[in-house]
Amino acid sequence: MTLAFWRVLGLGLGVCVAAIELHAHHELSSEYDEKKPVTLKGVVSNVEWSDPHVYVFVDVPGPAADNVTTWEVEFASPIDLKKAGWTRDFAQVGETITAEGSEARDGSKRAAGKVLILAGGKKLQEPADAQLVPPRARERKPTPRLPDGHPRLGPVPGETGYWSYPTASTLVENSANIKTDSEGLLKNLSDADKVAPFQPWAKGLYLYRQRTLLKDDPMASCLPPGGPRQFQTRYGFGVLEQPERQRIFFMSAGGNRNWRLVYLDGRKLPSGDDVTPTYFGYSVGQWEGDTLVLHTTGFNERFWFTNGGLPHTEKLTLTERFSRPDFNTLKYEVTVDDPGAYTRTWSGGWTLQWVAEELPEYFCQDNDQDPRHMVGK
Amino acid sequence: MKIALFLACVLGCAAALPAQEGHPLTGSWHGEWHTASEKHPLLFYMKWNSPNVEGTINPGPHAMPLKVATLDATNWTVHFEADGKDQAGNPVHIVADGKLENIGSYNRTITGTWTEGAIKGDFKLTRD
Repeated sequence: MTLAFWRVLGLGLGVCVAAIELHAHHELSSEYDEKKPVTLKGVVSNVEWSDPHVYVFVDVPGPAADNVTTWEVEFASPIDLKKAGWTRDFAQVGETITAEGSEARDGSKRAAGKVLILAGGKKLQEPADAQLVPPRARERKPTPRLPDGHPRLGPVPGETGYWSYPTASTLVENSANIKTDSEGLLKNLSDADKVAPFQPWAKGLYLYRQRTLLKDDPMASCLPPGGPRQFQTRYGFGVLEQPERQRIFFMSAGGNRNWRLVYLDGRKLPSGDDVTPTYFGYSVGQWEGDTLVLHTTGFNERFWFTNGGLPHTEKLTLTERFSRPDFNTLKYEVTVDDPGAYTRTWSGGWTLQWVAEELPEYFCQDNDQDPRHMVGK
Repeated sequence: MKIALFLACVLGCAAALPAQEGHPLTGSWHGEWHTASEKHPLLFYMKWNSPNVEGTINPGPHAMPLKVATLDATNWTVHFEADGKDQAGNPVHIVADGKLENIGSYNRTITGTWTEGAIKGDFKLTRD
């Protein structure tokens, strides 16, 4: 693969640069204010080691001896903390610790933790950027193939693996040079017109969601990430191919182990009342050379189909193209056709990296406490 | 106790309702318009069918199709017009202007002024 190819690919897919920073199943800034740093020294009263976040409850003494306030300090998920060397028993109830972080926007006694200093002086930190970058591919290998010659999008027999680390954090129209954070929050709101050809109401709603720091994101309430968002959600997705049954499954990890079924048996898309709107819609597909082309319709309006809060309607149909130019790379391109929200069809996409590990287990519902505290600006 | 349990269940279920994330006016809305001396219940059903919002006021035997329903997403103001009949059965033109609030919530609201013929009042709608 030549350097020129990748340059063209990068431009063609839209250079939506996402600073890789710690993020969760929601935009952290909608809940915590980085401009309000807080240092809490106290005694650990509880530790919750669960998804989507690890919580440390700290009893912080006040000015009076009998005046104790319990603070709830939120850290990343166990999956991310493990990458930074944390273990399930990192702190003990009764241990005196110091936590540094940012205060909650809603005034509650909660903080987004950044650093935890244990009784013995050991310092634990939120995973650094470097710890969250994709693992480097060990070797260059050619595209694996199914017995029928088509590219294999899942793991080869006897191996494990999944796709993650998308090169874009949100879907934007091809060639748009837009900077966002890891949840699709624009660095510059004036870039909104470059994101997609919005209808006026859709642009207004998109800007509202951006200005309120994505506080109403349905995924923060653990609802499924339909559409392209399934392929940009944290912790990646697996592909289960069943050529003998002419179907394929896309299985989310960060999307709460939801799966999406795609029929490859030549059936037609249903229309009108024949389809009940769902989060993942109804998908059919076929191979065009080495590219798997999917057509999907039948989406409901209860989710955001990409990070960043781009609206859609039930009129949304997607054409998605998947190709695997080499063993470690998946190229994803999508054309959005939604005459209810956009003035014309538009396209975007990104690439993903192969991770030769088992798909991690992640259930947002396990201990989701965020939505009621996400107040935005 | 049973009532308390029932209410807890209802409130819990309401809190877990998935939002409607498409066009902000789409859906069923209920509320009332009122003057200093009168209150009138309202039920709106609206659906975005690009490029228009279509809908009905008080679906049923006294339904009034929305002739005009617009949303200005730069300031979230709405404008409705409909023709119906008043309580005496006389034709009446309705004009309502309001503002959409709490947009990201399933139970978003519209509040504003309601004019029905020569009568002026205020209205509030909450999305069901």
